[in-house]
Amino acid sequence: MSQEWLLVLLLWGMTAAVKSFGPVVFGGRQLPPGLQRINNLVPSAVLAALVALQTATTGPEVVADARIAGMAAAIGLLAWKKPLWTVMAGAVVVTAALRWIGV
Amino acid sequence: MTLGLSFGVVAARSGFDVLTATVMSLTTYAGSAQFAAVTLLGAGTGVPIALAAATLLNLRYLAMGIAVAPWFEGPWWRRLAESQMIVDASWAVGHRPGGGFDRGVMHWIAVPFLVLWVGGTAVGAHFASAIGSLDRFGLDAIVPAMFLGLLWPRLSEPADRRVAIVAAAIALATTPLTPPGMPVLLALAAVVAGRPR
Repeated sequence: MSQEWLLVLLLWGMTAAVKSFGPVVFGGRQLPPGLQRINNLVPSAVLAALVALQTATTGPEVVADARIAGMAAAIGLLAWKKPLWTVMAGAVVVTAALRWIGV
Repeated sequence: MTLGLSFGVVAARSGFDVLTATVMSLTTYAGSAQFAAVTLLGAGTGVPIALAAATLLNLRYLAMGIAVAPWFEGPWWRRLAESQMIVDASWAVGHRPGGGFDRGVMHWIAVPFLVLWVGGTAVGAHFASAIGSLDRFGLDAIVPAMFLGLLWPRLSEPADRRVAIVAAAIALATTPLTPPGMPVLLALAAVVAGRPR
């Protein structure tokens, strides 16, 4: 088997295991209220971390480039109560425009 | 779609053919882990290192899966199958505003995404030499803008605001110090900032 196929197989098994662990082991059971309150905060933590990483890092480095302006545009559009697709389009247009002028 | 295209291009440049790249997108369906795995294998690190890096990147799905586990019902095989549709976007959109999780909404996002992801991979891998970097079109801003839009309504709660700020700070501060994947995991510690004052 080639290295590529081996990696495809192992990656499949690993990802399936990681994604299904919670739902298979703890599925259908309600958490105690204290844990549930913490649980409700997990989305904000994950989303904020992903936004920060995808906006301001390249590999292991923290960088400031055109994406920051794209996110600033997105925040402006969100504050202006625009729908999600407008927010995403605005971020893309601003980022591309800055790259085009060489930022 | 554009993310799938990028992955197809990167996979092809790392020595994957159209079939292996496409099958990987269909079976694994976890973008960041796939990017890391094919790039490392292409750089000659061997399968164990590529798998280890991908595992680290995927560990957040362990926490995210446990977080939504109470809303997965039915026999174990059904929970196993449905949980494969957990990706960042479908997981984020699936959360109900007042708390709780909607598997129907998760599928509604994840299934079309999967079709675009797999289709994009096939096209990208096939036309890799013709497609250059997609970054100059600003397409790398799409995903963070989407996550920002999903985060936004949560920020009206002071506890969520504190958690978000601390999580972003932890993620950025640990990026230069830890392997890829760790910053998101460490950022989960930010939930302690959300305790009532």
